[in-house]
Amino acid sequence: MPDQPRVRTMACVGGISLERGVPLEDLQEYLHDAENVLWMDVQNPGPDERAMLVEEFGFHPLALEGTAQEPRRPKVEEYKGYLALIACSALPGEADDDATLAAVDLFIGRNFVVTLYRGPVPAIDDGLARWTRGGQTLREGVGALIYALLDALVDSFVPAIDRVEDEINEIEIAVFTRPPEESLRRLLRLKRSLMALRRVLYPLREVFSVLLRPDPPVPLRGTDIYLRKVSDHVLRILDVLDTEREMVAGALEATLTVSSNRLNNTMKTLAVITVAMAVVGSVFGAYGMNFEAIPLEDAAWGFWAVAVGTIGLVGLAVLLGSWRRWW
Amino acid sequence: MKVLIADDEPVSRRLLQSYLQKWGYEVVVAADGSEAWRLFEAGDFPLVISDWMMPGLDGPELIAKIRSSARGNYVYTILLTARAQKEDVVAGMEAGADDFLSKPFDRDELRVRLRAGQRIIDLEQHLRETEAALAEQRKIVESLRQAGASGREDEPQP
Repeated sequence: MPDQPRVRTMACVGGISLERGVPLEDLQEYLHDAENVLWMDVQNPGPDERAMLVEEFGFHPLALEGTAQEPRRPKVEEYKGYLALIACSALPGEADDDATLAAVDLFIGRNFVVTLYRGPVPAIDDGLARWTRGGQTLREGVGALIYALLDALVDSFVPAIDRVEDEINEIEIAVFTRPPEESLRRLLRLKRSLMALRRVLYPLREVFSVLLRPDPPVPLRGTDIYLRKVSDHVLRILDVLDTEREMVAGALEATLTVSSNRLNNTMKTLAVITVAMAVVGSVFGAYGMNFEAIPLEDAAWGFWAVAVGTIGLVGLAVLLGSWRRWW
Repeated sequence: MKVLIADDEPVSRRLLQSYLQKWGYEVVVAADGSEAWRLFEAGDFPLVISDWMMPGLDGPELIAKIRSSARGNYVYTILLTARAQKEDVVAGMEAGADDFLSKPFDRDELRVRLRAGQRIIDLEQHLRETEAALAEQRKIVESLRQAGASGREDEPQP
């Protein structure tokens, strides 16, 4: 059964008061005043919600197509009177989980932001809480809301990246103590997670460069400085991702080296066993030849002396070699 | 219930007025502290919402004057301000304000805080009425006791 749609609205009226649950029939009244900022949050949008957005905000149906679907490459597209921005959020997970991502679509106008996504995205609630606690920054208009939401979305990646780093550190120790197959499996999973995170964070730089250009597509007033901070945060996260990628590559190399060393040791042991067996075999082979006179041929204990002596001497040499670490 | 709103910012004043009227309060607005004080002296306002920074009298000064005025009934005051630091809250409450809300305020929060203020005013009103009724009863008892005592004096001694 598909998730039920949920629409929430909140307005900051004149930078003075916050009103929750703005009725849909009053939306235009709120949007009419440029000093008001309206936020509409649509979770699990269905055809009815999309039709409402087309009607109330005048969004192009094509702009709404594919919204709140699988994580897509973040980007920003300019339409007449609004921006369609695709962003992503990392969802909370357990220590060994893969990074789970959720697509968040933001439609930004001169005094409104509409967010669309599927399933619960805690970063949205976090962004809303940041906005409502913004105090005087709320007077900066829609820029304060964009900042609060993008900051929360970018911050949601930090725990996922920390989890990856913790796991890499753990694997780096486990490489020498655990079977290499297990480390390899975990490292390849981490590599996949890092690739997925990078795929959605790297294009965010371009999104910020559009928002922060000299003639911004939406009125940011004094909030461009805050958005620059978020943009810097994205760059720092990308740096961390690069470092983690190198750490994973290093751990992979270490795992393969350890695995190769273990193989070498096995091969050496097998080679020693082969040499020992060859010595024993050659002595026994020599005694099996049809020579006229073979030492100890006539002695009753001759066979036992040669067999025990050969095996004993070879065994002694193998034990001595192992003890003195000749191989 | 009559509410006096003192705010020098027209948008904020208009917004507060529309909210309170929608919630059923009778609203009188003042554009600064001095005007608010004049209106307060002339009328009967159990609830006052004041901005902090205003020309003339500022919010804390207005509230201090309201507290020092010899009014019979209690006046519940809410200080509404852009200041949001803890020390500002303390300073506002020290000046005599009963409640403190920082701008931008949450409409629903304002509504419930007003309701809490109204409950306090109603309780205080009820308490005063009970006290008055009790004083009346005491007077009656006293007069009855006096009447009883004088009756005993008039009785002929055996």
